[in-house]
Formats: sequence, C-alpha cells, structure tokens
Amino acid sequence: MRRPDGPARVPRQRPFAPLLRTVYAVLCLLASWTILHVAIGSAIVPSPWVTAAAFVDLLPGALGLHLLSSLGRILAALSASLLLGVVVGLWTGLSARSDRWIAPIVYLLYPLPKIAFLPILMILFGLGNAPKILLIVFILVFQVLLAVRDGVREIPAEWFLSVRSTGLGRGGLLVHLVLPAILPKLLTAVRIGIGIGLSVLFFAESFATTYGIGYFIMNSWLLVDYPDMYAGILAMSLMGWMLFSLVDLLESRACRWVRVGKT
Amino acid sequence: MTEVDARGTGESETAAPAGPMIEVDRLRVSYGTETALQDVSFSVERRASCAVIGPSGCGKTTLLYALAGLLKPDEGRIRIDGAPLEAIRPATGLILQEYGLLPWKTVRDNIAFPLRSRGLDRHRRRERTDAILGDLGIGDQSDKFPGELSGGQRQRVAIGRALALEPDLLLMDEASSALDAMTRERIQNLVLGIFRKRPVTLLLVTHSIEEAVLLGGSILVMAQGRIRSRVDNPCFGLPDARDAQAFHDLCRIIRRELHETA
Repeated sequence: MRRPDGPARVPRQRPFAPLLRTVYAVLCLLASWTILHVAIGSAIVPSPWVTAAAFVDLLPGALGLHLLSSLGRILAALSASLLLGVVVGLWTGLSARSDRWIAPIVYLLYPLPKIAFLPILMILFGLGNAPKILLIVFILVFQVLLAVRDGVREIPAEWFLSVRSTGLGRGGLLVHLVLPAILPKLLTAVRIGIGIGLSVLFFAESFATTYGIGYFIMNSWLLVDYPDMYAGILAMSLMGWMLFSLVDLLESRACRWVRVGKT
Repeated sequence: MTEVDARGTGESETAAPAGPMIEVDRLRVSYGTETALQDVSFSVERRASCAVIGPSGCGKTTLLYALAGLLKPDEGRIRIDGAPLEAIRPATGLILQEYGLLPWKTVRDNIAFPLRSRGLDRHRRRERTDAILGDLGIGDQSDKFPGELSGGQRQRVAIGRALALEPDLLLMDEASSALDAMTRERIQNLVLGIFRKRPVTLLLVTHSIEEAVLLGGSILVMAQGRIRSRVDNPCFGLPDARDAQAFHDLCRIIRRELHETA
C-alpha cells in the first residue's frame, strides 16, 4: 500500500532475526520428531540423533554422490523450465495474438497428470538423466509460463507509455520495466516449482535408477535400514531448504522495493 | 486559428527559429469505434505555456499521448518544433502523475535510467541526476524507493526525470491533482519556476480550473473530444496570481465555459 501522505519507512530487521526464526523452526521439528520417536517406539521412526549420526557418516561418501546427482537434475530442470517459461510467457504476455494461439494449448496441457508419462519418457529417452529432467520441466514450465504471462499483463499500460516516452526501445522496456515487474511473481513460481520439482524428482528416481537421493531413500527402505532412509530424507530436505533460502536471498536483494512502505 | 503569444510579454528571443512549437491540425484519434479526439486544431508558441482543461473523458489525456508521439492519429497532423511528429521525440518530456515512476528503482535510478540510452556515461549520468535532485529539493531522498516518498516528493522525481532529458517541450498530466492543497501550491510554483528558468514550452492537462489559470498562458477548454474554446490568460505569470482579482475572474469565466459545454 502506498501512503498518500507522509513518507513511509522501510521496515528494518535486526540482522539475527531470520537466523533465530530458523533455529526456532528446527527446534520445533526436533521436538515433534523426538515425541513421535518415543510415542511410536518402533524402528520406523529412528531418533533424530541416530539419523544425524547416519547422515554425518554417509554424507562424505555415497549419500553425497546421490545428493549431487539429484541436485544437478533439479537445477537443470529448473533452469530449462525458467528459460522456456520466461521466453514463452513474455511472448504471450506482450502479444495478445500469440496468446490466442498458445493459451488454448497451455490450458489443455497444464492439468494433465504428466507424472503418468514417466514410463513413456523412459522408453523414449532411456534410463539416464534425460527422462527425469524432462518430466520435471514438463510439469514446471507451465507454472512459470502462466506466472510470467499474468505478471506481464498486470503491468499498467501507463507504465509502458511512461517508459516509452523517454525514448527507450524494446530492449530497454524489457530490462527496465517488464523483467523487474514480473520478478516477484517469477520468484514465487520458482519457490513453488522447487517444492513440486523435488517431489517429482523423488518419484522419478525411484524407478530403474541407481543414482539419486530418491533411489537412496527407497533402497534404504527396501533394505529396512531406517536410519539411512531418514538420513536420505534429511539430505533431501536440506537440499530443498538451501534452494529455498537461495530464492529468498535473491528476492531480498532484487525485490527490496516490494516491501517498501509495508510496515 | 489565431496564434497567441501566451507569455503576453511580446519580447522576442533572438536566434529562436520561427514558427510555433506545437502545431496541431484537424487531429482525429479513435480507439476502435470510439472517437476520442475530433477536429482538434491549435498551436502553442515557443516558450509559451498552454493548459488543457475539461471533464474526464473529454480526450485531454489522449491529446497529451498523441503530442508525445505515443499514439498514431487517424487523421490530421502534428508538427513539433517545425517537424512532423512521426515517432517519440527525444526532446519531449512527458510527466505522468500516477505511473511516472518505476517502484523498483531508487529515486536516483528513476531519473538516471533513460539517460543511459542517450549515450551519457556513468559519471555524467550521476552528475546530471544529482544536480537535478538538488534543484528540486529532494537531494536527500536519492537512495529511497518511490514507495517511501510522499506524493509531492514523488511528483518532484517525475518532473526531475523529464528535466534530466533536457526537453524543449514538457507535457504534464494532472501535475498536482492528487496532492493536498499546500503541496499542490508548492508543485505549481515549482512548475512555474521551471518554466521561467528553462527554455521550455509547457503543455499541461488538468481538470482543475485554478491550476489551468495559474499555469496556462492560454487555456484550451475541451469537451467530448473537441476544443470548445481558447481563452488567453492575462494573469499568467503575475506575482501572487492566486490573490489577484483577475485570477478569480478568469476562473469564473473558465467555469462558465465548462458548464456551457457540459
């Protein structure tokens, strides 16, 4: 909200506040985990300490490799989805005519249960990284595309006129107006995409794969090695948390203006 | 259409090219089937100021956009500085009240970003931006975002962005209509000061009668896409014009014009 009168202030945070909040969340998680462990009293919920020990033990070796291959896949899928989604999203957002041709296709494909096509992708592209990455891209690209398109459409026409009146061309409009305007929406789409991407990745990695954190978790489960399985879950959560934090950091750097005036 | 020396002083600047700054001849603009402007002809002399007044929807903002080269007229022609207007003119500054500033750029960047495409290096951009911020009395706000500024400060930044491009023609949309009374007077005085100090022609669109009489050397009254009348303003540029009897007399005349055309 803009205030019509009087300058608004940027809310200033104490530098340790975000860290304290993370510590608080971790403590909450550890507490409920411990309660579950004690209450269930079975090997299927190992204690946090046993899991942590397994995690520390495994991370420099096998778990680290599984984690890195999953991280590589998720980053490749996110980059490809962003590239494709932003380009097509900008195109459909800026040109009503292209939107008339592309939107019906997008609307038809978006709600398809694409995850069901994994077997087809594996037949077409083998058992390597390609079908897994493609499956995630196939799911995420529509979210990015729609977020970008709607973001572009929400830019008031007067802003375009105002920036154009200064003599800037198409490139200048894109750099100074369109991209910064859609950035908050795009980062939200990325954040949702990370969550969905990780669950799809887990699913894709649990079939006919020998590397990947999804494989590691499912394999540990089949071997009835619960501490290892939980170490894998912990690793995957940490990976997701780090990706999330990265997006948050990017947002706090690039979208500081969004929070301005909201006290 | 008669040409009016809106400054009313009769002094002629030497070395100024002949002919009016703005010439509009039988302009027609329509959005689809809806006609926004019809048979609009007028001219504004160099270094004169002209206020366009009318009720909302009368086409005054469309006229402003057409003069800025942002929309193509269906018929008629516009000449600016003697040349036919075919594209956006680098020396025309457009000041839009509400959407003039980009919220993700700091005050300084909002003024500086168009300068990059004008071939100014970093140092000169900074120099010019800081000079203008100082002139407009917002030098201490330069690292803030528009969302952190008051309405009057935002309007100063929008004016600053246009001035940084060193325009010979300034087009303003509702210079001060969203501001409180005191801030409005300050912005109006600022605009008058700029007009006096710089070699600039001013065309401003407003729905405030007082603002039109204060800032317009001549006043165009518009209704339903046409210019209904043109009034020359004898009290333009008077010191303390707001207190002058002639000012209030002219406001009454303009008000009557507006009511007759409504």
